[in-house]
Amino acid sequence: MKQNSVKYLLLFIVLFGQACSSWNLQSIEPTYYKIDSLGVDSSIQAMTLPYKQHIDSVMDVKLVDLPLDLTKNKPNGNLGLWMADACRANAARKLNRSVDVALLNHGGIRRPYLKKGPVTLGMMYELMPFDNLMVVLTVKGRLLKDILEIAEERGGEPLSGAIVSVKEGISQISIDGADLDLNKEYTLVANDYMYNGGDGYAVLQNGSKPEYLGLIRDALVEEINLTAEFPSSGTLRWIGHE
Amino acid sequence: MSKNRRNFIKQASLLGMGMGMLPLTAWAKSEEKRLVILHTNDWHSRIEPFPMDGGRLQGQGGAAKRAKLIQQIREEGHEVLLLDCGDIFQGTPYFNVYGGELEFKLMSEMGYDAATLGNHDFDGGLNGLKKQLPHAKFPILCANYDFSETELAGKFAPYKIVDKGQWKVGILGIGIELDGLVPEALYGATKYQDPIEAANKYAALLKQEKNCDLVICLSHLGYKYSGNKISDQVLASQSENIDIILGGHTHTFMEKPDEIKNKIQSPVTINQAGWGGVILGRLDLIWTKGKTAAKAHNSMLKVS
Repeated sequence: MKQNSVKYLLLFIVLFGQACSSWNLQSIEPTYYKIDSLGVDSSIQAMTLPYKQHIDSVMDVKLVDLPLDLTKNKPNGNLGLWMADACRANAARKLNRSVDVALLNHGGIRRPYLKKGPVTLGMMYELMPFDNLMVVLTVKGRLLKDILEIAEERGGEPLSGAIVSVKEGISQISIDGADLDLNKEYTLVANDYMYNGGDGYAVLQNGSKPEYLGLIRDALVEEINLTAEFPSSGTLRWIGHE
Repeated sequence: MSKNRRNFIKQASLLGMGMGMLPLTAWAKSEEKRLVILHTNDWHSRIEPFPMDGGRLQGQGGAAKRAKLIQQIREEGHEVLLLDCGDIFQGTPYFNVYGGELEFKLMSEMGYDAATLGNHDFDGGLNGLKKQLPHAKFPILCANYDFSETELAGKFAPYKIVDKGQWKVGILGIGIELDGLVPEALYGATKYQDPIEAANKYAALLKQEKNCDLVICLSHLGYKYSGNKISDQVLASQSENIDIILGGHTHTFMEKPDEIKNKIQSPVTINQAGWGGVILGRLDLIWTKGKTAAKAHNSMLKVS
């Protein structure tokens, strides 16, 4: 150890013993500050205030008292499952016919939870800040299977109307209690982000001509008051993929 | 580390005196200067702290608290660089209602030196972004998006050279592939170009031709992925003239910076600061006076 030290020292002296003229980067020391219980900068606060007052007046509107915690989790988080339920119900309401399956993208859920208790409009904007649209398509069972396979490869996604069993890939798809029929036509609701190829779902374009049904966020705001039963935290729609 | 250094300097001085012939006075004085880099990423319009609703991040973050902290750090008296790695926009009603205006105004007030573009900074479309640019009093850098066919042509420089004290710092920006991540209707005719090629081209320009002391890449590629997807780690390993990559997109909370060897086996430091403005990242670059470029961080100081 000591020998080594001396060697390093000598090396150092050889390298640096001459005129010391320039500055050299010797080390990088990291710090991560948690922005937690700190004081506030008054000028930033003053700049923010008029914006905040307007936002609060529009967004601090209570929509519902949520009876349970909804949590974002892959693949069976009940927040995503509820969002899929809500889109399916809302599309069915708008179309005045049944919708078989809703599939959303997990990455589009932008709030990790909605807690039991009051839910405001502002929280719904945080949950779904994007102006994504609901897209309704008619798809053959074969195509629906392809679409669900993409979802499975992505670790499962918010799903309503179907239960998918997974064992080294998809082993079974059940729609409304019956096995998926590869030749039957199904009504699917997704979002325009996915339809346009987002998150690898370009295959959606192989279905029927799309029908757009308004903003996903608006659908969620409408449905949160109308939802009779929220998915409980143990609900499984991806089985074997938990 | 600094303890080691003090130790070393003491030993070196004693040794020097003992040998009675080496000009170590500069070392005995322990000339040392700091350049402080502060950085954020994926702020996502979190102007206010996360709400007190029992969530994991409740009460954390908030622009007014961040500004206060930055001010306190500036008062330490070192040269400070304040940088952001994109996804400034989208995530709270502040963006839905005001389109990013307040985010840019607050960052300008805090004195950001530069930022890069994240995928969500396109969420208001090219026109939405263009409308907010006058509120940003700092340059937004991107070296691998070609905006020449869009209404944003000429709005984003690939790099910027910032003089901080005696240091000339080259900063460049690198964005993530937009296709499949951002709706085409929003990014329009923006063309994504190879990030490694662009980063290496501009880093070489900054280091070799413009003689920058330091080259920092602001990246929104993401820290690392399980597949072959280009990430900060991949960029670091295939780069040549970048010293530090500050990242975003993957919302990574790091315990310490990563260090990756580049193409010529020099270390590249990678850092990221969580998301939502709940972390302010800080790197203290400690420079000492000497002739040799001791870019291998700390490697000369292993004495104990």
